[in-house]
Amino acid sequence: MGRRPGYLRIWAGVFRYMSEWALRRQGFIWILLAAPIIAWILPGQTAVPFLPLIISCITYSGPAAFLVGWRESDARNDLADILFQSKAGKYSLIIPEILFSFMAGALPALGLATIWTAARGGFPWQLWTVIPFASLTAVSVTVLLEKYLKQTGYILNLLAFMAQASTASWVLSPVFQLIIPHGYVLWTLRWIEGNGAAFHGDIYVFFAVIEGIGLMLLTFKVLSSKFSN
Amino acid sequence: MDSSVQLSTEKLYITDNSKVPLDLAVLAGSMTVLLGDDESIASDLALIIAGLKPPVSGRIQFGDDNLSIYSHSARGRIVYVSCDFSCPDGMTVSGHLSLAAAAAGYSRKETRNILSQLYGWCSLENCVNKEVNELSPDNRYLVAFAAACLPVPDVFVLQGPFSEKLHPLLEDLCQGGCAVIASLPEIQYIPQSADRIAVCDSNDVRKIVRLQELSDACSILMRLHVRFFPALPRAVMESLPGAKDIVAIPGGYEFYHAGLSTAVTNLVNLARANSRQIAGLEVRPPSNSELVEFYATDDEPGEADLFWAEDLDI
Repeated sequence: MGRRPGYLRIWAGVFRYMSEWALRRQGFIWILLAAPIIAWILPGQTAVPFLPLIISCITYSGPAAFLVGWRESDARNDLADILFQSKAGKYSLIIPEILFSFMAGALPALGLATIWTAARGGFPWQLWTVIPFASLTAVSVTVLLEKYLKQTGYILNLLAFMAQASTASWVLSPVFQLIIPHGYVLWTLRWIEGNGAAFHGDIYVFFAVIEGIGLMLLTFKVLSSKFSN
Repeated sequence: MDSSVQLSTEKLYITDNSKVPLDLAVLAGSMTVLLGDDESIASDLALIIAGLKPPVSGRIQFGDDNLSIYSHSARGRIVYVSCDFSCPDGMTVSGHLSLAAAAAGYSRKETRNILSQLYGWCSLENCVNKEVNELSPDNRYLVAFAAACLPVPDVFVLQGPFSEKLHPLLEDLCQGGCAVIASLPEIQYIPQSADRIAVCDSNDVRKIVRLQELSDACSILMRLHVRFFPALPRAVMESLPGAKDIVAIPGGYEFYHAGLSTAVTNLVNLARANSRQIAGLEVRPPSNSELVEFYATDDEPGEADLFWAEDLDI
C-alpha cells in the first residue's frame, strides 16, 4: 500500500489515551495546582497579582500535569509498540504527545491572558509570542529533567516556580531573570505593567523562542527512544 | 511456493560469544521456527531479524533488492508480534485495530471493511468492544497478530508461545506468500506447517533441520513415563524390547524407546502378560538442551543454510 497513514486519526488516538492516562492519576490535579498555590502562599508575593501568576504558572503546570511520568509509563510504551514499528513511524506518537501537552499549557494561558489584558486596552504581541514558547519550553524542561534527574527534576521544577513568584532582591537581578525559563511569561507580564522587569519585553521573547526551539530538539531525541531502564 | 528470498543474513553474529556467523535465507511462503528457551539466542535472534535489536555484527537484507531492514522502504513490511503485548488502559480491540489501521494507511471506510474481515478471520467477533488488557493471553496475542496483519507485511516475526488457534492463520499467510519466523520455547508449540526449525543454544544457531528430521530426533530422544498397578518388578521391566536407560520413578519407570507405537504395544503386552494394569503413560519430549546436545555432534553450527539446494532450484 502506498497511501499515507491517517495521521489525524492517530493524533486523536494519542490525545485520547494520553489524557485518559493523565486524568486517571490522582496526582494530576495536584501537579496542575501545586505551583500556583505554592507561589501564591510565598511571602512577598503580594506584589504579583493573582491572575498574572496563574497565567505564568499554567504555561508550565499544564504541560507538566500531562507529561510527568508519561515517558516511563506503560501506556506510552504500549503506544510506542503500536506506532514506532508502523509505517506512520515514531513521530506519529512524538508530535501529538508534544502538541497535546503544549496546548494544555498554551491555550488556557492565552485565554487567561486575553481576560487579563482585556481591561488594559490591548494584548502586546510579546505576550502572544512568549506564552506559546514558554509552554513549549515547559514540555522540554519536564521531559528532560525527568529523563536526567528523575525525582530531583520535579523538585527543581517546583523550586523554579516558587522562585519566579518571589519578590526577593536576587530575583530582580537581570541574570536571574534570564536563566530561569519559567519566568519569561511573568517577566513579560511585569514588563507590560512596568513593574520590576530588568529587560525590555522583546528580550524575554527572544530568549523564550531560542530556548523553546533549542530544548525541543533535545526533547525529540529523548522521546524517540522507547523508555527503558 | 514463491521462491523469492524475503530475508537473508550476511555474516551475522548474534552475540559476543557467537563463534560462527549465521548465514540464513528465509523464502517467501515459508515458516521458520527459532527453537530455544529464554537462555538461548532464539528470542534475541527474532528481535534482530525484526530490526528491533542490533546484531553484534553483520547485516540482514530484505527482499530481492537487498534493502537494509532499517531502511524507510522496509518499514511496515517486517512486523514483530511480542508475546507480552499490552495496550493502554481503556483501549478496546476495535480501538487498537482502528489505530493500527490508521497507522497502516487505511481510510475510515476501508478500515471498517478490513476490520470486519479481520474479526472473522481471527475469530475476534466476540471481543470487539472488550478492553484488550482484560482479554485472555491467547486472545490478546490474536489481537496483536491481527494488528500486525494490517500493513500487509512480507515477513512476520512472532515471539511465542502462541495458541494453536493461530496455526491455521499462519498457514494461510504462508500460502499467501508471507514468510513467518516464530521464536518458540518448546517443541510442543511448533506448528505442523513449519518448514524449518533452527535449534538455538545460548550462543549460536546449532542446527537447522526440517520438521521431519526434528520429529525423528524427538522419537529417539523422547522419554516415556509408565506407571503400573500393582508395581512391576524391575527385572520384568528390563525385558521390554527396545527400552533403554530405564530409571525407576514412584510407581513405575522412565525410559527411552526409539519408536512410540512399538513401545506402547510392547508395554500393553508386558502389562497383560504380568497381570498388571497401566496406571499412567506419559511421553516427555526432549528438552532444548537435549536437542542441542544431540545436534552438537553433527555439522558445524551456523554453516547450514536454511534451505537445501533443491529448494532454491540450484
